[in-house]
Amino acid sequence: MNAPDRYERFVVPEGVKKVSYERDTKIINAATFTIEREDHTVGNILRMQLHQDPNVLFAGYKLPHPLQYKIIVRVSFLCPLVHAIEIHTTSQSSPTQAYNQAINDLDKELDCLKSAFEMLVMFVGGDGEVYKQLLIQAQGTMLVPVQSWKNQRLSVCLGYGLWLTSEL
Amino acid sequence: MRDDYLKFELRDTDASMANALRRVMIAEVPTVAIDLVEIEVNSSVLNDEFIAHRLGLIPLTSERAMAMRFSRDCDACDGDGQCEHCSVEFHLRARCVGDQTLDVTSKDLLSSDHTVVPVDFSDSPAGDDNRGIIIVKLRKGQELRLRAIARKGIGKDHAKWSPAATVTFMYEPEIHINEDMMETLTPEQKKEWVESSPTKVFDIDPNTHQSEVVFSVAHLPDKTFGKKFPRSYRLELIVVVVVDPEAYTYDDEVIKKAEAMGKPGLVEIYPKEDSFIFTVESTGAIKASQLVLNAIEVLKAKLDAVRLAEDAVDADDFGELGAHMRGG
Ligand SMILES: [Zn+2]
Repeated sequence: MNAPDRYERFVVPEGVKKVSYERDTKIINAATFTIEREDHTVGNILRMQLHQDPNVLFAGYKLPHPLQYKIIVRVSFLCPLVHAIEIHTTSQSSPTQAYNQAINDLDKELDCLKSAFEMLVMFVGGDGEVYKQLLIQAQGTMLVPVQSWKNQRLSVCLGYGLWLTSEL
Repeated sequence: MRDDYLKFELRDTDASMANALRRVMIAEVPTVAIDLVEIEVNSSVLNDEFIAHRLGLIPLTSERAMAMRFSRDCDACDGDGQCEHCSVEFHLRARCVGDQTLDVTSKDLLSSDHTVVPVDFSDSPAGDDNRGIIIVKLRKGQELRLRAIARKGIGKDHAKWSPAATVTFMYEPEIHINEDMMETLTPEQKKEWVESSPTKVFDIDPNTHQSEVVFSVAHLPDKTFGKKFPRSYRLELIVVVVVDPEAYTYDDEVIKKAEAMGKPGLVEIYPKEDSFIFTVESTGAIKASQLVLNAIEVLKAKLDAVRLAEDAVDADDFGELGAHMRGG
């Protein structure tokens, strides 16, 4: 009777912000982001992407409780006191900028993955004839289909170091 | 690669991305499924709720689902099922008149939209009969008449909306055979070792040379080497090769076998931590390849939603503490 609606798991209630952030009062250049109605899917990729950023000292996320449908991401930046000189000479960034940059980078990676995958489907979807034609067309371009020893798998490299292999 | 099955390799990324894609494919790529059922007549042996539940689990072709609206977000209707943006109406009328039991199947569901119909498995390799999914069986005189409304939804809400039957990924294994040590094994031992793997990861190279060497020792009396000396040898040069690294299930059987044979280190197998072998099986609601593309699209939309507004980023730059620390 009093069971919450199933959609409460992924629909942000009215009047609640999807993302909010709070600066740490004790540690300089650290912030906590609270993302409503998200889970490990977004939390983990964000955390790993933030780890790629050389300016990020710490990045972690937690799902406080399985029935609280939110995640908390904590980002701590290299302290400007330690890197005072670099901060003044290189571009200044903050946890919020790092956070958005991580999302932009992930977005780019997914764009690239999408085009590589579309290419793959084009190659292997349909019959082998399409594949053979494309193989000829692809010669001399940056797209290098590699046939493995079995002659049944196809790898496509499409820049950004992304590789896809599929069975024909 | 088939419509409902796809295996591919994803390289140069980390487990978080592979797992995010897997999770999105299972729980967040939308499909269309029956969500509301109005029973007009039901004199079958199954009760109304049971039939409604069975109807919900029937996969419907959902190529349109990405473009459709969620019923709760739709402002063009009040959710009565007549709306083209968010719902599809189905009717089912079945009555058994003969002595034979009547199977009511997904083929009896009549859709108001030809793009959203129960998935037809007749061309799949598994079933050659063209019967559809059985909903209920009717005896003579029994009748089932209902109206159903299918809506867009995601697997997170209810598993009936999940387009994925299975989505798995594994690290691609990197297999190194110690060739020098392998050569110390006898052909029988090599065969035994190859066969110790439960899946066919290794094999004997088909180009293995087999030659028979006949010793010309006929002119010597038998007692020279003793009676048991064979007159001919079959000289076998057997090479063990990796035929299918993807078949390896990280079961460690070949490693244990090598140790049991007194040859630890005969083979070394590591998971490549930036390379994943994906297996995607679809319920038929959307093609497996489309499922992957939709998952990428959904994940992009999710990331877009968690982006912090530009004004918040700017405001942060002039934060009292930040300004103080940088300026000072
Ligand atoms: Zn509507």
